[in-house]
Amino acid sequence: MTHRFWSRCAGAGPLLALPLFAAAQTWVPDSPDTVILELTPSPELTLPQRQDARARLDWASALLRDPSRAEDRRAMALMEQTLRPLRETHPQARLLYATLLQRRHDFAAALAELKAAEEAGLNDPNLFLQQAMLLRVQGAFDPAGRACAALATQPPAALNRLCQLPLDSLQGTLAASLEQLQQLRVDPGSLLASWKASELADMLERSGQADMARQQWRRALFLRPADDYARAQLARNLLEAGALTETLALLSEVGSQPALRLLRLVALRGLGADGWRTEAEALKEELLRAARVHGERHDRELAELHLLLLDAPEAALEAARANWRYQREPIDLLLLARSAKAHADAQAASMVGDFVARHAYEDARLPALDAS
Amino acid sequence: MRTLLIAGLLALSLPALAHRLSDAELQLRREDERLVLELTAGLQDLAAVLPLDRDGDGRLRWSEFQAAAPALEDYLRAGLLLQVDGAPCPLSLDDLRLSPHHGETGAWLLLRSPCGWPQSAASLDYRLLFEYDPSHRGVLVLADEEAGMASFVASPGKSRWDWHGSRPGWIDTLSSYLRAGMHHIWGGFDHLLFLAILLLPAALDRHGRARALGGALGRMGLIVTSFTVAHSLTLIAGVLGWLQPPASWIESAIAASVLLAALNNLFSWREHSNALVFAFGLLHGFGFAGALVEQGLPSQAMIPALVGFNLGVELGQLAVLLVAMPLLLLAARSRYYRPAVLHGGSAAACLLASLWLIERSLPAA
Repeated sequence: MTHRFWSRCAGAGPLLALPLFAAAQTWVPDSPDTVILELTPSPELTLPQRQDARARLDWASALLRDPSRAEDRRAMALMEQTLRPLRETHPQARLLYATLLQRRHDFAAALAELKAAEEAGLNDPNLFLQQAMLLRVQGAFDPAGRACAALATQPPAALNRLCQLPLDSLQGTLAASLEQLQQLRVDPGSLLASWKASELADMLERSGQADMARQQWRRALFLRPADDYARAQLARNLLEAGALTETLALLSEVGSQPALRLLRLVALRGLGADGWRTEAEALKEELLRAARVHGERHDRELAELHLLLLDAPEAALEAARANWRYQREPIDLLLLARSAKAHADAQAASMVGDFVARHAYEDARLPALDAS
Repeated sequence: MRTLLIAGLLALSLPALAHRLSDAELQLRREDERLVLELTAGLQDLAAVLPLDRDGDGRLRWSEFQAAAPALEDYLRAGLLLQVDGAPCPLSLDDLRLSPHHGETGAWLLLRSPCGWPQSAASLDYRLLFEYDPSHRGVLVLADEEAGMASFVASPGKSRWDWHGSRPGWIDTLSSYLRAGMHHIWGGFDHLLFLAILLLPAALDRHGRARALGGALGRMGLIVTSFTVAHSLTLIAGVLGWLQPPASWIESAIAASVLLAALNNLFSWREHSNALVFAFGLLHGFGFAGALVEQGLPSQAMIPALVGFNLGVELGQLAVLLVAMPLLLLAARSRYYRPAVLHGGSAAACLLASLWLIERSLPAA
């Protein structure tokens, strides 16, 4: 055996942090009739009937449109297996594949797929919209604006404005962009209406109009009840307002979505309920395991968990910094600022200040944070 | 595709974790010189790939699970391919129990093999559950007293884990611990500072003039040799368990040794005699022993590990000496050497060592 073995042993370090070496606590039920599992059938997942490329693309596209599949890891993995070999010959497969990558927070790879699809001649509004959103999430506002501009010639007419105005609002024109977005007309029953409500709510939050924002979050959720993003943001808004019971009602059936679970725990903590800390520790372990074993990062959730539940500002700041490297949405900046303040870290606070200064970024919650 | 728009947008905001994380844990170890595998997997996962619920009432009973043992064994044999020294090694299901698995009830399965510990190489190809859930992962861990620990995460794209089976040869152990010793001395700032404090006055002769190369080399060589002989003795005594003073005392004493040596440079109570250096070296040896014990010693290769670590410490010191000596001799030619380097450096060392002493003497919070 060479040193290769020992270097492998050294490499085992992070994994060994998992509770693998605790002697397994095993047991055998007393009675053969003991029910050891209530089976919950996994959502039916029918693979494409035909094996031709068109059928597979349609199958993947339908799954991506299905809100109940939006966070289904197994479905995503099966889609990935299906789409990966089609990418070289079908630019549409690259677009769908990019959606999977962005859901896994692999933004750089998603952008590369979109670029390849564009170079292959794909002219689809989804492509430019996804580019714009990914770049915006990363804080790359100028290239995001160029992607929005590419939507100007694409129907529906409101698409370009819905893409551009929120982007502008992050760069020194919050009030004007908010006013223009409020006046933008979209089909009230369309998905665009839900999107508009979410963007309005986000701008209103940054303008310091939390009550108005709450109405828009509610509207977004009404138009699209499966929208976990709007649900989480509404929960955050309610928690800020101290509406703990209402938050709990909103999050009564959160499933296993970590952001919603942790917000529910924050409400439970505020109400003085038992058991929230145990659940919070379990959630932390789950998030860490997701990163170690499955390569999935959940730094935003980890930062919130440490900050709001585990009273660990240093760990919160570490996660908030890690999150900031790939996600730069308003909530991420707020999280970084709050973690920096909680841990009294001037360097992290200056990162927030630099971002604000560079983009003329406005968020009424940030000055309030400084003054508190 | 149009309706993808909002779905794509919203997908950015929340990470995918609603579908439960699926992984299985496998521990490979030896029992009575035979390889055994302990596997813990989610019952829900196994129920998705095997017809465990025979009466189809949506409730899995213990009797149903036991009755499914043959099917389970077939499934495990097909998805777990163990090879030892180039030959396939069949696994058989020997025990079946329940165990906690990420907050839920899991299946604990003991698989035995007729194969002994590999002499050259072994591999395990893990392909369980991938056909149902490509996001499933197998966390494979090798836990062996002699071979140590190693781990691997199996995925559909990378399912095979290869490892070398025999214990390391003494040359491998020696070189591995030699590197560890060098890293310890370079990373142990207190040891380096102590050495530096001893070397600072050695650049000057008794009249305060810069020593010639030969004289300096002799003096510094004597200092390093005394330190080395002393810490080698206590390193061996500490590692073999002959003398094991409490680590907290040793850490504090090491800080005190730096402080005293630095004060001696400032107030010249006495020249750093070989005896004094030897005495302090004994203390530092216990510190090295603590580091080595913390790292772990292979019970079957204690001697090469010990020799390698000690040799690594010496080589690390020698490397520092080779870099520091010419610089010190050059600096000693300046009239500012005594006030700036010798006294200034020693004063800074005093301050640092005092802080260490306080920090290490305080009870842990």
